[in-house]
Amino acid sequence: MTSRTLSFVVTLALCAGCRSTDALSPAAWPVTDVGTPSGNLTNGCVADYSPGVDYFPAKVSVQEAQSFRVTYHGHYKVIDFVPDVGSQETARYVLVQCGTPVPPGAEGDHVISVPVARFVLAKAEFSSLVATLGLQDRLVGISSIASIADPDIIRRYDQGLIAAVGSGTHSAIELALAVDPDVVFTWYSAFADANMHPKLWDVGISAVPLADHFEPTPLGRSEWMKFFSLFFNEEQHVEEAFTGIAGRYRALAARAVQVSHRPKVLLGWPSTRQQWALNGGRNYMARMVEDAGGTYVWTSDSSRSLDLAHIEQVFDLAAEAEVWVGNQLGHDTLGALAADDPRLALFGPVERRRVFGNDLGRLPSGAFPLANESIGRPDAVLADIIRILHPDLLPAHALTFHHELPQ
Amino acid sequence: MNSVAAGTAVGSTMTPAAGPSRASSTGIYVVLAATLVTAFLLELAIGAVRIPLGEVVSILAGGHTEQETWARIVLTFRLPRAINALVSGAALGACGVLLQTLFRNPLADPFVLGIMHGARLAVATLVVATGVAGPAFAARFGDLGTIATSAAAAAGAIGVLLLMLAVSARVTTVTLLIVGLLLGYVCIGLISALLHFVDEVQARAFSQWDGGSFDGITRQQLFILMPLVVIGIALAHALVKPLNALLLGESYAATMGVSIVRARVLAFACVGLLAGPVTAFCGPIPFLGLVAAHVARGLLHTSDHRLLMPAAALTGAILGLAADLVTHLPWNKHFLHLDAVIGMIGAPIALWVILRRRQMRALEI
Repeated sequence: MTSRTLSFVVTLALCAGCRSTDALSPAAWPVTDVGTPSGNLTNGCVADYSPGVDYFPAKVSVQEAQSFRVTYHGHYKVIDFVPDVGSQETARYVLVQCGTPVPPGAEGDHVISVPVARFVLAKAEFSSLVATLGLQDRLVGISSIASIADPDIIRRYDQGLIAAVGSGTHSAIELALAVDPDVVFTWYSAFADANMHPKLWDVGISAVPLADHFEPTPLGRSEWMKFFSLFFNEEQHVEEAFTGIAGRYRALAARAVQVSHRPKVLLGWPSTRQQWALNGGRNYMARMVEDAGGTYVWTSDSSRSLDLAHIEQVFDLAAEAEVWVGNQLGHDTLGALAADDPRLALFGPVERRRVFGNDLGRLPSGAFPLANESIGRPDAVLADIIRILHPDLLPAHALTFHHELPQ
Repeated sequence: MNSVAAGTAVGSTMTPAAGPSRASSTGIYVVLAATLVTAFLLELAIGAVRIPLGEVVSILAGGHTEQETWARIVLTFRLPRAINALVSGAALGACGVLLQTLFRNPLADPFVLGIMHGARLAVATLVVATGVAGPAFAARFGDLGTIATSAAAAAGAIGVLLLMLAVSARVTTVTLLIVGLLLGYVCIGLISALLHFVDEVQARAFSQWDGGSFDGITRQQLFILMPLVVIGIALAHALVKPLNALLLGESYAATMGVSIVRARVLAFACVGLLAGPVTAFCGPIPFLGLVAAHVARGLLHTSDHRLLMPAAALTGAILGLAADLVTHLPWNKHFLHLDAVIGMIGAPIALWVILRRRQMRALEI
């Protein structure tokens, strides 16, 4: 009995009362003769494998993202995961079309049969893609329902069709095992100990870290849609969608290039009494502010991730900031902000009454749409920020994800 | 004057030591006071943002400053934090002395004995009962929330102390120390269980409050904290005579006319008054009380509470400021958290105390 099977049996015994799911098991895919397919198989296995046939006629090309590469090899595709965040970690995923053989030489890599039929998504930022790609009935687990704003996923969770497995802990691994996924998509951290995927690999689960948040550009981050789609053979759908997104994004950015005044912008939010969660100077949000015709106040920083800065330092940075975009602590008014921490009332943008939360549509659980949708809608986020910084450029645009905090 | 101090110590674990002369103790107080002032000024002068010392002095003197932002940083960020570190450090230093005498154990302090965990449990219960925490709590309850948090923390601290008081009549002081430790663990477990009943946002807000820090205290909170600590330290100082008598053993103290129960109740109330609000506004601050008491005792070579209590309060204030200063040095990346800094200082001192005492090495307290 393999360690995975043993773990699965033990966990099932422990979780006799756990939720059940209705997702298809890998064996449930229909096995069909496809000959030379004209499109990718998004819900089936190949019965008549023939070497030399291209089973992925729809492909993605990665133009903007820097943390992964993909190559196609007839009946399998190879993803090289190369996050350049100082973690020194790389990984290779060999995605093999269901019904075709594992290529020789792939023994040391992570081999995954595609299209994936059951998956756990432990990174809520990708949750809107579940509906976009029509994967609702394949999603069997999430990290926490509190971070999900998608009503369909919430409904399915309430119906017991999706389990909350948590993240990072041993109990999370047990719970992930219990839903028997083909793949668990996890949140990638530059700090090795914070990562869940090595622990899942140890127990035989195919875990795939998602590192979109380290991309230096919004479109690079958005291209992680393509990364995600590779596991479901949904390249055509996503490639078309991304082309539209990129076109709209670039068109919006072009409108903001010639602005005569570039307002200084503060991002992030106070994460503790002494710290501020601040987008690094090379983070995609810093680039988005530039693309929106603004000037980010922390361009001197070289970090790609969301970083922590001392609140005193941020106060100094914010002194000349005209606008603060990105508070996501649930404040509805500037008064509520000041009631939370009176020091915040002294921040430059707060004194100027130019504070915008990015948690429009926040649910009681704390989840809000931007956190779930921004990967697939960077153009909408950019439009919001342009509207905030340069209202005259997009006078008719109604904010999609942001809201101004009134007095 | 030092009739009690000379040849006595905290419990049987302390080495008898001669007390200082009046001149040397005065000298030590002067040094402590000077160190306190220096630490306070350094706390105002050094931080994440580099502000020239001359500008800091000018700001404090109410003069002109080159940048208005600097004035706000010094007066709004650093000054309340420094006052909090000073006041809370003094409170914990006094608590350390009180508890080490009450339990006749050199390792007793509000954190080790579970008193801070009692305060944390009470605040967690408040969060669950009201259904909100963090910004929402402040927005909904305002100053009332501040007072409620403070009262809950004090009640939690006193609750743990009352339990220990109830047990204290039946067990030895050493056992009582263990009871305190166990109560702390019970509180930690209950906090964890309670947090299952709040959503992640509230749990995150609670954990933000729960991270020990002198930062972010509001003026209203200081107006609550400072009088309580002043009253608590004054009460502690009023208890120096019965505390000195307790050093000689409860039986002996009773023969001297000291009401043991009354002394304990007052001392426990004092600890609740000091440790509760500090925990409410700073979160749990480990080891500071323990370390301050030992440093003061080591400086003065006495266990006479008339000398020791103010010295421990001063030392606690200095340690609070110094530890906070280390966390706020302009580190290039990342943060040193207060509990980490105090732990780095406090744990070695606790180890030193254990290894220095033959009885404790052999667990023969």
